[in-house]
Amino acid sequence: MKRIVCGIIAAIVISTGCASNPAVPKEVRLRQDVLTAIDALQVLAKSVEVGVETKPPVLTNAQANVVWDIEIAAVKTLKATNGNAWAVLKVALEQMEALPFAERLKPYVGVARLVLAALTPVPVARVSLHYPHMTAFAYNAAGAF
Amino acid sequence: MANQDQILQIVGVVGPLIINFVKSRRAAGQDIPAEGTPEYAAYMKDLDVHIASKADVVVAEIEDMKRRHPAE
Repeated sequence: MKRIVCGIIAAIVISTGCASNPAVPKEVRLRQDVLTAIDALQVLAKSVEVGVETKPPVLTNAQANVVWDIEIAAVKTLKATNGNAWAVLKVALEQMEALPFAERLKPYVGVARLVLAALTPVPVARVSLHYPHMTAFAYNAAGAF
Repeated sequence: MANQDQILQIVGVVGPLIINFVKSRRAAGQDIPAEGTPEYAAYMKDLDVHIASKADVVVAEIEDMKRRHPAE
């Protein structure tokens, strides 16, 4: 019984405390998420360019252009709505994963998927994923390709 | 069912942890002005401007990439 009570208390603390810093108003957090999502898309775009310039190239110009068009649309949506960064980024990544050459995109999209995990509205999943660290991680990982 | 002593024991252990935790979380957001103040409004406006300019920069960068690597 003690364990159950402790477990419930711990779950409440983690989900309410870690996920939503009480000192950071929700509208500020949403904007921070938008910035993080734009950062992730920027990293993805740059890493796709590296993939095009690699010898032999991982992606053709035409393939890269398709990805970049998806990214431009996503960034413009993020700018226009200032809203749910997680949903916008998720849609963009799903569009990329539905492309016929998705297999070649896997490493690039994988990094952005990690950022997406950091932006998830599911509170517990955000616990250990703090935005600046995730962005730094994404940059480092993109540089490694 | 846990008796009253057990519940008090749990609260006694977990309570201070929660208080410390909440304090540390509050400390993390101290640079954000208090809601409803003119400083907060200015902070939000700056944030919106920053998002807009960041988005413009990223779109411009991607457009550049497209120019450098035109689709055949």
